[in-house]
Amino acid sequence: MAVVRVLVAVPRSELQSSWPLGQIDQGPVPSRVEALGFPPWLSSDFSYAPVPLGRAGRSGQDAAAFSVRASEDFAVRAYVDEELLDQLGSLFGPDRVFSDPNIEALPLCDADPARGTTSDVEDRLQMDFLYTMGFDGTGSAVAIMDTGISETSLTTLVPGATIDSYVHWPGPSGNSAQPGQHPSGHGTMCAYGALIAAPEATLLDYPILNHPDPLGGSILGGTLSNALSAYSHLLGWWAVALGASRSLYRALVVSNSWGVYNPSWDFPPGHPGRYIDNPAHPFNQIVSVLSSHNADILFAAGNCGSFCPSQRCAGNVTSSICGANAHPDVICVGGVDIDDDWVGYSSEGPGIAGMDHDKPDIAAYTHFLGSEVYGPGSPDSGTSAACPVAAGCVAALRSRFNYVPPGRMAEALEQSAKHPNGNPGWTCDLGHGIIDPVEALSILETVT
Amino acid sequence: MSEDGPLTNLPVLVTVDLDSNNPSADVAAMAIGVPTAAIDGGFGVLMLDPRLHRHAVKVDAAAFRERRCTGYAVSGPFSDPPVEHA
Repeated sequence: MAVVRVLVAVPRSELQSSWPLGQIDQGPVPSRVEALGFPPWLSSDFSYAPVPLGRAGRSGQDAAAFSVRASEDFAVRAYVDEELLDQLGSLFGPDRVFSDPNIEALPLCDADPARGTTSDVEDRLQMDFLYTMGFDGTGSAVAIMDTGISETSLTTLVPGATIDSYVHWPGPSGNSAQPGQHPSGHGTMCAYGALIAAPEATLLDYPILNHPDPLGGSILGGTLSNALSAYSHLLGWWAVALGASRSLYRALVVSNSWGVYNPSWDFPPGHPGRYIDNPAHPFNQIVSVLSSHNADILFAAGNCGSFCPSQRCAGNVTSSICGANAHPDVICVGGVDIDDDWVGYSSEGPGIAGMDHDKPDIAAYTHFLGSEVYGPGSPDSGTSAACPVAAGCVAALRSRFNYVPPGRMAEALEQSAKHPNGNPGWTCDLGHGIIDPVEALSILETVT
Repeated sequence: MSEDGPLTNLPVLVTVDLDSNNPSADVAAMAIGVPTAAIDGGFGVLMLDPRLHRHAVKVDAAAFRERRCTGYAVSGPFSDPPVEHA
């Protein structure tokens, strides 16, 4: 038998006998169920002060009708067995019994102010514990595939932050600025996010998004071929040519806060050269190859969540996790705020048909007051911020678990992730749940 | 994007499996069956999979449509859509 919570419109005359109006004015009133004339199977909630309703069910009433002194009916909260709801209706009248469902805060949207700070994110991730145990990113390289990093801004925010100046992708035109010598912006925000969990990691600066499409588009965008060029450069440095400074690192983590927002940007459906749903596309191929060389690759889920999608999504909120963001060899990251609530712009799964179904894989924290690269008080927002936060967690875990294959690392993150309601399994908004690096650590300790 | 796929005069992404890694543009063009001038030299010949000696290049779309048949495994054209930050 399920017990449900209801609101009952009780006439003033039935309240007055046990609930003097003066006491109603003062809030919760201790009394006895029987005194209200309720049957024994209806349990009144005396922690809830009766609320004046005017005359229940009548529309167009003057505001004065809702005063305690004038109101004819009052809402009383009570509990009843679900099977007795009809009897309750017979007792009070079918138009005097109402549901009282659970409600929740609306998800955060892009324009909402920051919720919490970097310190709150550190607390949620239990960074003090991880840092004490030596999980701080030492020996890990974190490649930030973005708009480029401002070393000046970053080291102001995170003194001691390190960018490897030997790893220099020249860009599609061969004239990309030196690592760390880019304007402060989205890339710096991502770099900052990665260092929250892995302050001792070294950053690799791949400014793939400040080479806009010559055919038009965002000035803070790029083309997929830029990313392909950058990945090929990274593959050569990490796995083939063993470039300068490579020996300093035991692990490579690649953070990608970008994607294709609209299918119309790609070849038409069914074309064999299409990107967003085609594992044979060269970029999806190189993601597989880099992963097979023990690189952990993370992608943001995207900002096409159904509650408040980015305008760039053009209304496309289904199958919006596409391309490499839905690749089976990557960890796809959705967004939650520091209260563990899904943010309304975080893209929901499943991944596009043809790629991996269960995307996003996990969720991580976003929309907090962090780098403030967009001005004082501006949040680090979007799944753009969530992805490097998760990448930093991976880099921290790699401080000791550098021998674990990327697929096993992803499994550990999924198995340890938690849903706020405690339920197991995959959901379209949070994937397997919110990242929990300490729990992932305990799982990885069992991997030999 | 055109319903017919890539626009005529734009370079397209193509992959080719070669005999070794670190090939020149001349070698890639020969294997694909197009003139070297049809290869985007700025983009270069990118390594995709060192184990398969698979590489990616950008090729003039018209030249790619008229390529000669060679004995090499060539795939494409593939899309090169714009991307934006999340």
